[in-house]
Amino acid sequence: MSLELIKEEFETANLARKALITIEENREKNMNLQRMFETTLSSGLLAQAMSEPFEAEIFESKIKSDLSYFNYFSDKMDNTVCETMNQMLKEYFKTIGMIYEVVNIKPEIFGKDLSNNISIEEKDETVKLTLENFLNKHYYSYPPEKRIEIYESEVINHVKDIISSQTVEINEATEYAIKWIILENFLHKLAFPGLIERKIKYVIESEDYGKVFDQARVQELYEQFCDQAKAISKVLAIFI
Amino acid sequence: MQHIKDIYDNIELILSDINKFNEVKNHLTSVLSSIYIKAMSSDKGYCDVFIIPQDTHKKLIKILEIDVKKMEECFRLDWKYPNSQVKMYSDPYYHILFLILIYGLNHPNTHFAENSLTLILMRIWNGRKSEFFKYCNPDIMRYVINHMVSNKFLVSKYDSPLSLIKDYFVPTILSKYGDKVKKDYSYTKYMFSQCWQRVRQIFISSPYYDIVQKRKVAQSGLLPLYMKAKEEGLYQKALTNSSMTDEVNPLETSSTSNIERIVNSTINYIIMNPQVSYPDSFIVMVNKNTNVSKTTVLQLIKKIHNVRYNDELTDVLNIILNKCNVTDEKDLCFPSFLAVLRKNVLSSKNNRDINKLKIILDRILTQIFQDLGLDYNKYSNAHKIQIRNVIIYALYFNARKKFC
Repeated sequence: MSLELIKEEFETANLARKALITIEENREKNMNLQRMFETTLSSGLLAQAMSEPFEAEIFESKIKSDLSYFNYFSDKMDNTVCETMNQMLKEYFKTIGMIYEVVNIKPEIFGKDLSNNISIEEKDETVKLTLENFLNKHYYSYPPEKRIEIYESEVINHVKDIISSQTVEINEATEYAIKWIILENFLHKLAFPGLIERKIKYVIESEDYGKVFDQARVQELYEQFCDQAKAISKVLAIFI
Repeated sequence: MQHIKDIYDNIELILSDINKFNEVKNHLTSVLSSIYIKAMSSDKGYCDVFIIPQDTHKKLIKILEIDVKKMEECFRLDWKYPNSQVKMYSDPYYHILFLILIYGLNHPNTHFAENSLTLILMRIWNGRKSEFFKYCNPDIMRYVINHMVSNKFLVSKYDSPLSLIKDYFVPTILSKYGDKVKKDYSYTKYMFSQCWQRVRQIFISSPYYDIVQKRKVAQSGLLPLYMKAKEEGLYQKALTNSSMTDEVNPLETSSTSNIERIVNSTINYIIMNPQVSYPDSFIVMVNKNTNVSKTTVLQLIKKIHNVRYNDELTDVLNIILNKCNVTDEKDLCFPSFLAVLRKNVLSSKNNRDINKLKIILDRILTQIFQDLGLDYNKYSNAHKIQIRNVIIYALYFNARKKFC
């Protein structure tokens, strides 16, 4: 091997080594930030600092705003499905309201407040854009293999659920399961935007909260919400 | 050489004319009457300022045909202040009134001395009040006057700045310095300085150097007491207009004494019964409405049955009953009372009464939590609202148990 070639190989190896060191350092930095965030949250400081009490009027506005997203799907449903969905949504919003009230957190509206007096066209446009952006980001921007890789840990249970209730090809079931998971995530963000869901999880896990408050009730309500979000998103996934 | 005397001698001459004398007398009377009427109809108490007509001194200067510049020069020379930029000393308002004060001292039957000194002190009061209280809440000040000042403090003896000036400052300052001013008109400077000091002391006194804040801080006076009351959310509402008249509204009196009776009886009932039992239905209701666990609800409400919380619980129940417009024990027994309690107290947002309630309940709960081996301050403000509501529900329960 000539000397120049050896030199070139050495320089390439050196560059690669430096790149790997940088990647490792960044990974550690991110982990430290994550650890810091978790520690602050678990110490309750974050929860304490960001807690405003529940307001019934704001929750009413929230329901109106959130319903706009569900109305987007209801146009595509037949009457029977629509009626079932309405019943599910009634219980679903009741649970969300109870969670906000019981934990005593000020409700937040996801994205633009659609409860205000804005035109139907603007409302529809906003809903369509928000959903499309969400789906693009979490679904359409990835090739099928990548999607499976990203949602691998969650998709198995959903696929089992699908296959147990209907005869369907595994690929089809997987595609459907992924849409279901994505919509489920969307419903979580819609119901508890920003850090609200983190605060609820903190309250469920906090030892101090459990010493004084009815922690089991919060946990029960949250699990109920998760089941309801899962059931609703299963239906909505058909329409995307 | 006395320069003020020169200008005063002119005034003596002018006021020997009965018409001029009456003009000055009527003007002073008219100005003071208008100030008194406004002051007496105000319920701002020690937050009040005097509405002194703008032309008070200008009209006097005109009647007495005074050359303002010459007057200022005379006072500057006798009072020995450097130039006309020295605000209070160079103010013609004070100059003309001191000249009339001197006339009044020399002619005691005219009451000119008392009237002019009153006007001098009123303006000084206005200046000090605006210096120390950019904004003064009359309800907080009322609390300070009625609950926080010592009996030795002048404001506890005189129910308004008008009374303080008219009935105390004017007679004492004239009595102490009047004779000296009569002998030496330049002594008016010292009298002026005393007026300023005495009024200022009402607002701040006994200064000391605070090492932490690195500045002089007042130990006593209205200002430090007011700031303390403000910080603690303490205030006292004014009596209604009907109570400002001589005739006492019997309904007003009876409802106030009724509330006192309800509060005292309820609190006595609570603190004298440490072993009271609360039904499950009540515990479940409180748990449902606050999400405080049933165990903790029971622990908290049992803890209030303790004489150490007598004062705080009395204050809390007083606020609750006032917010719920309770005038008679029967009001407690209406089925709608709980809804009123929820609307006016439990769900009520930031207002003075609710803020005061929060402070007192936090005091009680910090102690109770400590007794239970918990740290009350670990909980967010939103969670504290839920915990406080447990105590409010307990007071509601006991009041109804006692009277219904």
